[in-house]
Amino acid sequence: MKLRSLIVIAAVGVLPVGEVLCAENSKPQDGSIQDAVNWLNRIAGSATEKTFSGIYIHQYGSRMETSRVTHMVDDSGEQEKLETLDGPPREIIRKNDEITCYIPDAKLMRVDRKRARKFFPGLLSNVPNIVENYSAKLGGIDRVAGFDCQVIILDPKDNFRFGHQFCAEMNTGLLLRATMLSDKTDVLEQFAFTQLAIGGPVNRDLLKSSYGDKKGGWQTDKSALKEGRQVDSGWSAKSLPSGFKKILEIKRTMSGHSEPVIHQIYSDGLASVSVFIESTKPGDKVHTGLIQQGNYNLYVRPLEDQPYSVKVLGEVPRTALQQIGNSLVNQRR
Amino acid sequence: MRDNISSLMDSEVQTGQVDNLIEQIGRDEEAREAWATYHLIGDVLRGDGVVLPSIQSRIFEKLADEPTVLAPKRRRQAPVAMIRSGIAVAASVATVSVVLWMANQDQARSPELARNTQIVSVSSPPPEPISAGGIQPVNLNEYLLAHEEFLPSTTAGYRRFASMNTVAPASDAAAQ
Repeated sequence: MKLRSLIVIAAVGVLPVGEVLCAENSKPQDGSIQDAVNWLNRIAGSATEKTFSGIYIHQYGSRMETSRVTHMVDDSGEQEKLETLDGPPREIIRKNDEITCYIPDAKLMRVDRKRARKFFPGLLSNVPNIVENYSAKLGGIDRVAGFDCQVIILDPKDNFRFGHQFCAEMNTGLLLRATMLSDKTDVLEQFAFTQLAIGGPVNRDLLKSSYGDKKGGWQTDKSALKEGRQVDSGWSAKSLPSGFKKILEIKRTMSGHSEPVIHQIYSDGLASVSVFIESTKPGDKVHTGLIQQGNYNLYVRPLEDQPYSVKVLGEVPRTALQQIGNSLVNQRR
Repeated sequence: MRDNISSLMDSEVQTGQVDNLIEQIGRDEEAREAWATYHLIGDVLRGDGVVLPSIQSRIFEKLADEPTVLAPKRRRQAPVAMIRSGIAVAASVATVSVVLWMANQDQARSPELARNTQIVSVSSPPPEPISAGGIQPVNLNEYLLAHEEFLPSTTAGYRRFASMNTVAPASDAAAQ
């Protein structure tokens, strides 16, 4: 369409290209786009505002896990309990931003803040950021966990991210299914409720940990609160793929590294990319390369003339990783 | 044929063609080896404890010619299956193997592992960190786990505790 109008303009030879682009942008927005954006806002809102309980599956690469979620909203805000139903038992109790994870096989209680973490169905928070990077449109009506739901399709606007499809419950907008696709058909990741009750009241006992009383022999680990502190190392990616923003930066201890490794997280509102910057020892030879593991791509490169190497990792196409990795500079040097 | 194998592994082949394709692979030695290699690549990258003895010798031959290595570190526990198999050198998956393909700008999306990969190196665990060869050890799993802490999975960030008794240094996200 744009191409055609450019050709027309070129033939007439009157308007400069800038005005053509303006004309494109100022045309009235398609109603269905606005409808889709409204649905995304409903999805984002309902996950934090509604009371619900149910069971969902999470398919990820070759893995699948089933979890039960109980989410209640009252005057004090959100309370949530997440428990894994297969594999080693794990329970996460969340009160607004405070998270406690119970790990019974290690007799460990890990205390942390929610920060950049997301829990299904609360996958969407920054809708404006999302619609900047993905074209949103409505699909048909589908049915998930016995509820009719509206399909919303998010196509990436460039090659730096994968597409998504959501299905939101008709009355509440609660996200019932979320799918990440590498192209039109290839499912990379999927969350879906299999059983769900929307609305209260919820028995408050269901929001307590089953391990809450068993303090004997259990350890409380608060290291995450400390290690998760935001830092600013001076490293930044000069040419981020459009829409990606750094959402946090921490230093973390990793095996094989005497010095803490810098860990930065970039996100476009849906996809996330981790950048690890670590010092290298004299004699270490780091090669530039790409590695694929499951849904992840990982890009490794040395920083020329500097004793650092970079690893960029995320569930995004390789080009995004390379662009981020290749543009890292330290502003303090 | 290799594309077909790759598609089959990715479940991209239509149901009606699966039997036929498997039969073809069974008849063709080269295809069988490719099948085994692709699975090995996948297994090793996923950290599953499996190495197929049949292709092991060829891998080590290749290793001799290859200077490039991205070498994950030895795992804490060697997988039981491997010890049983008596493959001494390849014993630990963590011993590594990393599939690496050189940065290729024009292929933005390529979900299939096998299609664009080649084994650059599969190395045995060095007794000491290698310095003369200038090899940088890479424990990929640790980076994956660190990244997963920010993904919306119930167990992400806590999976590492499954077989550990002590508190590991681990940090979840920092303030937004």
